Amino acid sequence: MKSTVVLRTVSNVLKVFLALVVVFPILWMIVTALKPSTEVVTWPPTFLPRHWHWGNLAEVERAGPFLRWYFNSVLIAAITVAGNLVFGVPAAFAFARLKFRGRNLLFLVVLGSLMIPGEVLLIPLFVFLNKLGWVDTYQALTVPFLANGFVIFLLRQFFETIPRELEEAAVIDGCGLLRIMWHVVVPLSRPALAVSAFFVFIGSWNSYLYPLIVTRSESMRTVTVGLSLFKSESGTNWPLLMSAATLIALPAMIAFLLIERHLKDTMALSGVRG
Amino acid sequence: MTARVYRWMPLLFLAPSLILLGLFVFYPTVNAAWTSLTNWNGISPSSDFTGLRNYLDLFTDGDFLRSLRNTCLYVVLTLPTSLVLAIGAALLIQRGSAGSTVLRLAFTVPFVVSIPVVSVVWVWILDPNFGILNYGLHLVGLGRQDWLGNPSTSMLGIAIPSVWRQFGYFMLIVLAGIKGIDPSYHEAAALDGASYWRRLRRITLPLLGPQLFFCLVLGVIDSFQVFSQVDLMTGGGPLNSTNVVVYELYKQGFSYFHVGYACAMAVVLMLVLGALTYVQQRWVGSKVFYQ
Repeated sequence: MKSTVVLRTVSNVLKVFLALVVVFPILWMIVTALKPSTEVVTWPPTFLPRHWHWGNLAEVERAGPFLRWYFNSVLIAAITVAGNLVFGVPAAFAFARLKFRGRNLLFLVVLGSLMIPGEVLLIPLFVFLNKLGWVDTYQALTVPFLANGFVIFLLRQFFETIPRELEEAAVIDGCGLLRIMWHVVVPLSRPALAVSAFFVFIGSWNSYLYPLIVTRSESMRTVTVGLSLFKSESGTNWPLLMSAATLIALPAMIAFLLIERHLKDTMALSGVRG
Repeated sequence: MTARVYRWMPLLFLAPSLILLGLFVFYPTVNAAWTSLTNWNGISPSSDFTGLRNYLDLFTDGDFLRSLRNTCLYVVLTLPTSLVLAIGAALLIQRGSAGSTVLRLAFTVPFVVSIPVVSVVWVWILDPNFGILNYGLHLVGLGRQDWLGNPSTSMLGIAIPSVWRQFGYFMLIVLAGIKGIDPSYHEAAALDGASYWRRLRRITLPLLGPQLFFCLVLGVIDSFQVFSQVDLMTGGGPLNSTNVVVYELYKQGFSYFHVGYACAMAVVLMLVLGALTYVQQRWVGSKVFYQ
């Protein structure tokens, strides 16, 4: 009996060690962010900062309009997430529950939108936005992403698992379609809604090529594009660059830790059955 | 018994999404296909119809062919490693002890770190002078490498961070597959005296076919769209050794203003991805075991 306890402890210790190895780049980013700039050019390198230099995090703002970029990214992500839920829920509900002509065809069209790589759209989308006069505006950064085939697909898959009896009971109680959607389906779908919101958020927060192209002025850049400007502007001030990187990585990592337990279940649902 | 459905209801529910997808996905796609048949430079109001000229030029364009080869190299360097790591990681954590939870979070958290952040962090790790990786190599008695500055290792330098970021996501998919395997198969095999490895090879891996196949499709599609890492880590260099398809497309479209030509590249990219998905469905898909 004793040997299994020892074995289990050893295996857990090994697992934690392995975990540290995998997250090492993240840890290295954070500790570099907290070193004074002289300390990163020493050989041999130090792991923990000898002098903790918290000032880097504040200094990021002086190297570029970092707060503005951060605000832009937050705003864009928030609008995109909201839009995807507001437009995606009714669409997914219609595909899951309503019977109408052309339903399967339209659903194929929605799935087909997933097959088109974003790079194909890059140039014509830019030209189109230019015609609308939207280049370098928040509209250009949000409106094209307010609907997403993946979200509609994921939500439809989830809605179909909800027992119809619940809705039938609501009908008997005199509920209309909108109220069924809002008061029966939506409350039961919180995990799927959270996972959809998470994927949209990550996609928006991390996008790089697209905002690089549709923004021109410094004040309209997003935080990821700002990171590349940072690199050239401040040369290779590694602690400063890593501070900016840490500040960008944090919201996504926190969102992930909050959503993680729902992620697996919903992923199994999204039809990873092949 | 169902609620009364008026004819206008489905339309109302679907209209916003369909209009958005139409305007910002399908219309630009058609537009790209049309522009690819012209010599438009993106600025002038008129352009000439050149038929398939752009497409024919692609196949003699050394830079484009090079970028295609580089992209394939990137796929070869990232995808098999990611899949093997994903399977290993999933097997390691499938039994949910406390250590496993920590490990699962550690494996999956890189996936949510944005690619630009991953890129600059790894540029720092791979730095030839003060990078921690070279220090590690120095400790075990190996020489310094200029990972991103040397054309023979630059693609590896881009592939490593991609694997690091990608395998945890694949692991989640594989894990969902492992959870779905009926435990009675393993119990029966164990009763017959099959060892862990034998059960892994004969039961677990074959039943994971659909999940691995899904990861493969996803991985190839993702790899052909790689851009940010290249832009932030090497800028396509040194000596074009990391110039990938989307980077070449970006340069042609937005630096040289060969817009028609860049659109032809985009259409080829779309066709290649479509064909790959189709081939995988037909060939790999038919050979994997479905429950």
